[in-house]
Amino acid sequence: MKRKAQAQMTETIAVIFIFFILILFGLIFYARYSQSSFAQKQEELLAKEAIDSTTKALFLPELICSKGEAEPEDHCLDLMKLRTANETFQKYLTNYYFNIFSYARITVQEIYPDNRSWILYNRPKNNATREEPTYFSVSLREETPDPAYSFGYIEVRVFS
Amino acid sequence: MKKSGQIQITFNWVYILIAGAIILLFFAGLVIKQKAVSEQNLATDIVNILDSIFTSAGVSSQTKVFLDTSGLSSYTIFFNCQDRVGELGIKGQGQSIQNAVDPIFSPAEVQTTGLILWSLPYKLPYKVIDFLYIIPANAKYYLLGADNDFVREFTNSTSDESPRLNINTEFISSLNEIKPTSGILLRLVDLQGNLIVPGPVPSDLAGSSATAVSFTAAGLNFYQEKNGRWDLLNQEGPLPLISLGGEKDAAKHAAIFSSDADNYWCNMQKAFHRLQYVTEVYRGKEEEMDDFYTENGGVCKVLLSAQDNLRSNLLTLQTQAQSCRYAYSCADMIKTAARIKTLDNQLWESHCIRLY
Repeated sequence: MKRKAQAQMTETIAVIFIFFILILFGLIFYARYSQSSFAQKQEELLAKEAIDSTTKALFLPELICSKGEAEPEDHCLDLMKLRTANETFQKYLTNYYFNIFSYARITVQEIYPDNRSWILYNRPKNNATREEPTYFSVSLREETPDPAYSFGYIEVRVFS
Repeated sequence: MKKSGQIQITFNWVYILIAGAIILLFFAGLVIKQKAVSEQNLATDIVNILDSIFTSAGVSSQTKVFLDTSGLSSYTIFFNCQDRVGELGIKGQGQSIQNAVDPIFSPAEVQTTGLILWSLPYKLPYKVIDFLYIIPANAKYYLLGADNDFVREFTNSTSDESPRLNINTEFISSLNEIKPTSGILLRLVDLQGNLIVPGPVPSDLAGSSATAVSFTAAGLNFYQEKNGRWDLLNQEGPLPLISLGGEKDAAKHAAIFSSDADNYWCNMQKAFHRLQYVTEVYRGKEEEMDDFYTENGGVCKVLLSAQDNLRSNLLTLQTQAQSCRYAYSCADMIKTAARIKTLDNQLWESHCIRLY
C-alpha cells in the first residue's frame, strides 16, 4: 500500500513537472514571438516615418517652385528659398519643424551641372539603432543671374 | 480502509475540479486580456494608418481621395483640436495621435462606410500649407442664400464623375425644404448671413443634430441644433474669414467642413503659425533678390525695398501672424497679404524675379 502511494505521488509530481515545463515552453515561445513582432513593428513604423517625411519634404511650401497663382512645379525646389530655409529650419527646429520631421537628416544634393549640397534639417537621434534613407530626384531652380534649372536629389534619412 | 479509500477518491475529484477550474480560469483570463490588448493594438494601428493616409492626402494638393472605411463602420473616429494641437483617434479604444502641424477640418465624430479626403492649398498670398477636409460619405451639405457665384463654384468643385468622390450638396432657398433622414449628417451653409440665427429651428430639423455655419458681414457664426433651437457655438463673437477670396477659397471651404468654431479656429491657428516660418523664408528670398538688384535694379529694387514695399510688408505679415492668437487680432493680415500680392504682380509685370 505504502509503495503504491509512493508510486502515485511520483507520478503526480511528474505530471505537474511536465505541465509546468509545457507552460514554460509556451511562455518562452510567446516572449520570442512578442519580441520579433515588436522589432517588425518598429521596422514598419520607421519605414512609414521615412515615407511620410519624404512626402512632406517634397511638398514643403518653404521650398517648392511656385509660379504666382498657378500650380507650383512638381518635384522642383527653389534654390533661393532653399538657401534661407535651412537657417529657418534650424532656428525653429525644436518648437516647430521637429513636429514635422522628428529625428531625421534632410540633404539636397545637386548632381548636374555642379555638385553642391545643402543640409536642410539635421536632428539625428542619440544612440539610434536604426536608420532608413529615402531618395527622390528633384529639379533645382536658380533665378539669378538668369533662370536656370539643375538636377539633383533629396535624401531624407530617418532615425529610430 | 474502505472508508479511507472513499474519502481519497472524493478528495481527488474535488482536487481535480478545483485545480481544473483554476487552470481554466487562468487561461480564460489570459484570452480575455489578450483580446482586449489586441483590440487596443488594432485601434492604434488603424489610427496610425489613417494618420499616414491623411498625411499623403494632405500634401496632394487639389486632389480628392476616397477612403473605404466600411470595415471600420462600427467604430467612431473622433477629431479634436485644442491650443493648435489636433487629435485623431478611435473613441474609447487605443491610443490617439496628436498633430500640431497639419490643419484637418472635419466633423467632430465620424461613423461611416467611407470618407472623402479633399486637399486645397491655403494661400496668404503665397502658399502657406495644405488644408485637408474630411467629408463622411453619409454627410449632406445644404447651401442657402444668394451667393450664386460661390454656389456654382462649390457645386462644381464638389461634384465628381466618380460617384464615390461626389460630395452630397444641394442648394435650397428655405430651411423648410430640408427633410432629415436618419444616419445622414446634416450641415447647413448660410451664405447670406441672416437665414440661420439663434432661435428655434424648423420643426423637421428638431432633434436632427444638424450643424450650420453662417457667413455674415461681421464674420463666421457656427451653430448646432440642440433641443429644437440653433445654439450659437462661438459666444465670444463672429470669427474672421482670413482669406484673399478667389476660386477654391481654402479658408471658406474650411468653415464649411469644420464641425464647430473651435475646430475651425484651432486649425486656422496652425496655418497662421506656419505662416510665420514661410514668411521668414520669403524674407530671406527677398533679401537675396534685393542684393541681386543692388547694381542694376531700377524698378525691381524700388518694389522690393523702398518704403511700404515687399520688405516692410513681409515683416509686417510675419509680425501679424505671430500676434494672431485671438480672432480680433488677425484681420489685418488680409490687407498686408493683398499688398504683397499686388507688389508681386508688379514685379512680374516689370520683368523682375517674382517673390512667389
